[in-house]
Amino acid sequence: MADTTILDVRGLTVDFSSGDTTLQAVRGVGFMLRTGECLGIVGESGSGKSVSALAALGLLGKDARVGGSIRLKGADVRGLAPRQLRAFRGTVASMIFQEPSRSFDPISSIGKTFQETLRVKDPGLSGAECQDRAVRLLSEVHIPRAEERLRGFPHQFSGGMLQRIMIALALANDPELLIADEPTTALDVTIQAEIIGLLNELRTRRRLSLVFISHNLSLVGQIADRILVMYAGLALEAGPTSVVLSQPRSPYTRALLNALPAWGSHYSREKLRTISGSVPDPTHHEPGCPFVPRCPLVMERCRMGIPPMVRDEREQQILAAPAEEAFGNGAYRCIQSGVKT
Amino acid sequence: MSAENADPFIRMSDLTKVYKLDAGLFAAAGRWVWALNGVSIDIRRGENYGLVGESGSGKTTLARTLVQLFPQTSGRIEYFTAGDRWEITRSDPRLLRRFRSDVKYVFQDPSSSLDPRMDVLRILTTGSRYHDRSPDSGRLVSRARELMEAVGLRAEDLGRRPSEFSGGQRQRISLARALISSPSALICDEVVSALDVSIQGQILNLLIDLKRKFHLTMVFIAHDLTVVSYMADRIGVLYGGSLMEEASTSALVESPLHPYTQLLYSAIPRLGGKLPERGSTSGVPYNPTRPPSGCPFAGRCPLEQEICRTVKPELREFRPGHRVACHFVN
Repeated sequence: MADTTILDVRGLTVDFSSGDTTLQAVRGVGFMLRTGECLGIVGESGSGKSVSALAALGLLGKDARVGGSIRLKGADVRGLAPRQLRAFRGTVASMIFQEPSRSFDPISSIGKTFQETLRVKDPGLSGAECQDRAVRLLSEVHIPRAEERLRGFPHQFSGGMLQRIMIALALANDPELLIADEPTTALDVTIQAEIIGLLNELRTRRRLSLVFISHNLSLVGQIADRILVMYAGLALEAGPTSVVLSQPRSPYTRALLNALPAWGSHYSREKLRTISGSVPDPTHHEPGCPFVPRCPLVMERCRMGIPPMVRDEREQQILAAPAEEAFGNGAYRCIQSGVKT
Repeated sequence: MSAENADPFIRMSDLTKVYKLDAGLFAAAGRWVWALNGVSIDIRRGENYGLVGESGSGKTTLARTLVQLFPQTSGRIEYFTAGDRWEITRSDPRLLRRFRSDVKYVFQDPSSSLDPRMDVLRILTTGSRYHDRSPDSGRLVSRARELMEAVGLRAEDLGRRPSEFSGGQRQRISLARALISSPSALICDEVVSALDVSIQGQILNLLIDLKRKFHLTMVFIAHDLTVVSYMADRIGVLYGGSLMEEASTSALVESPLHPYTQLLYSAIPRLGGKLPERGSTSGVPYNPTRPPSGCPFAGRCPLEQEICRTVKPELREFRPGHRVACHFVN
């Protein structure tokens, strides 16, 4: 196969402890990303989507206990020494976050921030060389008058502009993988569309692999090749975007799709089919499927144990499953849904 | 529904709001923000009026001016009640108090708009002590219990504090607080945008239930056109402190006429939808620190001509009830 795997995560678990409470943020998640592919991770707050991404880049602090295997471009992220890990970040994989204004140092000019970032890989770069590279990067993300912008400070830019600068910075050392954690959530819809367009463009031009994390399924649908739906630290469904969005197998995915109004619907004609209750408490996971308290299909068996991730038989043709949990094929975690829908 | 009859409830005429950019001792002289530039909107009794626009479009300023959290720079707000017409100004505190107990503002972020030191009962009833001339505490408590149930919480929870509730529950408390004075209208400013997807739907359904139960008029403000078009009977589209388009929801959903509305429409992430072409969303946005001239959207508009930069287009009625402010829409 010509495709190479850039990120391979299996059986990932992340716990945070403080005092006698343990918060299980991720409870066994697997996914895989091939070069040039975009994986969308969808989930509500507390689903473990961000923590999984942070763990994948070894960015979690000392208070996090990480289990499972994380291979980034073949290297075992958990086994890397801090210095090796630093060398990986930025050059192999980098990350952008939700609020661009909080990701910048407010007292450094944009130019200085670029200089600092570029010198991580090439410590000997001169000021003029840094300037050149930064200008090229900024024009790649369609920021006009780049020379002038480099003298500016973060507060002088709009949110959308800063997010584009953030993307340029993340690309400064030519990473192969970019993890974008809710990159458009704080932005206006029109700017959001622009950022999604830009990320799509960069994927093609740079053959960039992308992990796109969001709570918004329809947004993820615009960029991802494959989608992983997370809930309470578990994957509940995974598969090709079109399958997950048009014929979801997990009742949770279905509920998420129905929870918000569709374009053209109106309160006078239809009530929203909402999900009752709220997301489970991550310090007290009940045995069984985490969606049980909110699920319309629930049966006694659902409470017995966490149902396994099962392959979606409709996806037979593309099956080449390396591991049951490894993401890449249509799969879902529900003992009811598989029977009949 | 009552949306068709044109019984006015609130009439905003030519509202403008100019803020001083820097406040305080070291304020630079003469720097201003033109947040609202002559907005006229009628809110009809019983309708859901939706206001949509990007951040900085003036939707929150408009809503807060409407309830007189601060005064407008110029323009007029009229309030129609019991067959009378009143002009709301800050110089008539008694009328203002009456208006404010009848038209309630619900804030975006329930975690910062509920006092963490108060229990829910105090949160719900504190406002009424100022509004009612003779607050009867027994009646207030039973009203509070009744409202807790109406918003889907338990009356027993009145003794708890905001920190013991989830975000969605806190927004329910905000709604109960707004309803305690039996208002005719709720001004809901981005009330679901801070909530999880699964909770947003619950709150939207609750708002509709409350509207029906208490016969409320609603102004529903959001940046999300899909949510606004679900919730509203009529929609006003704001940009750069000006009303760009106003129409019934069905007309706006079927044929958005203003280039800005079309842009908003194209940017909605839709299942299976296509992205707008690159460049169509960019351009020079409205700069609120310059005195407005011409159409605020001119710098981003695909139809832009010389006249757009100098002459502000009037809102013109294209079809009955469908008003558009653009020189070139036909």
